[in-house]
Amino acid sequence: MSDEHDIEKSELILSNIRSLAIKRSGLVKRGLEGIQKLESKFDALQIIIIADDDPTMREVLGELCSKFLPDKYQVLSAGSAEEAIEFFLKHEHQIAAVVTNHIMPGITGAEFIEWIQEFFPHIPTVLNSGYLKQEEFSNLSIAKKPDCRFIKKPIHFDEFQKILIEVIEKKKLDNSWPDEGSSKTIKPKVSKPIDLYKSEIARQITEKWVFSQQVFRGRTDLEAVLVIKILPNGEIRNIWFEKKSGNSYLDESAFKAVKKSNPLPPLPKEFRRPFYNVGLVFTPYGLKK
Amino acid sequence: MNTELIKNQTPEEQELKKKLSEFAEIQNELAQRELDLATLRAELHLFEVRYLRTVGVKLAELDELKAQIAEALARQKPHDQKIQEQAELARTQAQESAEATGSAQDTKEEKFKPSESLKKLYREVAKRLHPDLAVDEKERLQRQKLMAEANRAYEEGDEAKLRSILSEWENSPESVKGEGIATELIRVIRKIAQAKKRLHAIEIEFAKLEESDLYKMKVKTEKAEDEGRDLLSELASQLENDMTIAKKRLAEIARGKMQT
Repeated sequence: MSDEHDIEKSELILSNIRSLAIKRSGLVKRGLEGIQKLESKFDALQIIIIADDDPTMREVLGELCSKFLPDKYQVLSAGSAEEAIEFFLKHEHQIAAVVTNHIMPGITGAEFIEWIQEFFPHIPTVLNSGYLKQEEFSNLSIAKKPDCRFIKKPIHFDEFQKILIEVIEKKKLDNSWPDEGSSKTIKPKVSKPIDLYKSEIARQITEKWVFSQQVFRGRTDLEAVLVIKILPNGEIRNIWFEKKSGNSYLDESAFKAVKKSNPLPPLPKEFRRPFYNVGLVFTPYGLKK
Repeated sequence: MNTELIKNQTPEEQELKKKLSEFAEIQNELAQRELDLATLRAELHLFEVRYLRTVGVKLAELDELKAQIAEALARQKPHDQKIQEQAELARTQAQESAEATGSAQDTKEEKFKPSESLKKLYREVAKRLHPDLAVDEKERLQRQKLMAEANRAYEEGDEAKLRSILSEWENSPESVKGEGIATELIRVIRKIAQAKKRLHAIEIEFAKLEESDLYKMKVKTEKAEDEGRDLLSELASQLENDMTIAKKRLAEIARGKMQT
């Protein structure tokens, strides 16, 4: 009798749990839809990147921006130049301006701006620093380029607001993205298993390759040749440059892509050797086949 | 090579040795995957609580306002069947949303961060008393009960509880093995088969969880967090705007009624 009662009771509890789960999943579904809407709205936004290793500074500047910037701007704050570069590459078509502190662990603000000026010359930048004086800034090579401004710390908010609005407004006026270079398509003829394998790893490495074609507008001559040594189980044992392109962005991004692809799929069984050395040619148009 | 030792072993002893080492390997793998699964479940559970408390409650409040609006409209037009139905639907939705968020209020909301020692303990528990490694139904039920307790203890970060579950099991008669090599061999072969079946089920469970709306929302939220954005707060403040509009509308309807 008591057993039956227990079973009834636990069945009741179970059905309550189930119906609660269904009701909750309804709410979760609405939340996910809401987030998807937020995301698509975000994709249409213009992004201001603020890089500062001081979290309070990031917060203060972020809040300030949200007060005076129109709704179509969104601030992303990064704790280092490295992190900021990641955000930058991920949203490169949405970047309206970059505000960076100078002295930070790792890459400095000036080096970060140098990178931006080399590859994304149309993006305005604002360097701020408590160490650097105005005349020291003026002597830096980055200061010679237009659209690079300097703010001495402690930051006066009025000045910050004025400068940021100026650079954004100016960018809007001469914002013109040239068309992407036409990409070459080469159809490889593959037959042997190792050729198939090579095209498969090329595909996998390309997937991991974080890189912007637009950076190299007009520079078709760049080529980096990396050799990778692959063990039968697919593990990458060694990576080295047979030829560097001389462009650090291309070289480094290619090297990182290979490193991130480890391990690769195992070598084809028909390939009876202890390892496979394969050369890959990285160009601004992608991996050369 | 010690040939003497091998000569001394019967074929079934050799087979048992082989199977036991295969079993030990699969047992470790199973324990690890159970740990991964329990971790993901706990993370999802806590994320759900966080979501329900920040966004869910606002959705429920909005649903309540919408129900009140629909009911006010229904009172104004008591003979319009369609409006009456809409009011009923809105009320049901509001009730469901309120129920769904109700119990989330009482749960502790934290990020799930199991310590290394907690994970190690859980793996040990999963290894020793996994229900799918039982040899008969009675033992399976016993293990299942303890495993459920272990899952709860893991989610709550209760190391002492995990330890006591482990020692309870070690002292129970079910943990004692024996009865000759042949029986032992059959037992181990069955355990391997059961463990493989469970491993497969775990992978399916993983795929199912990763397909869920909750998981997708969690991933998106965490990615945005890396960029310093709080999507849940953004959603909540959007809902607050919607609520302000709804409240205005409700007031207007009430005023309209007074005029008529």
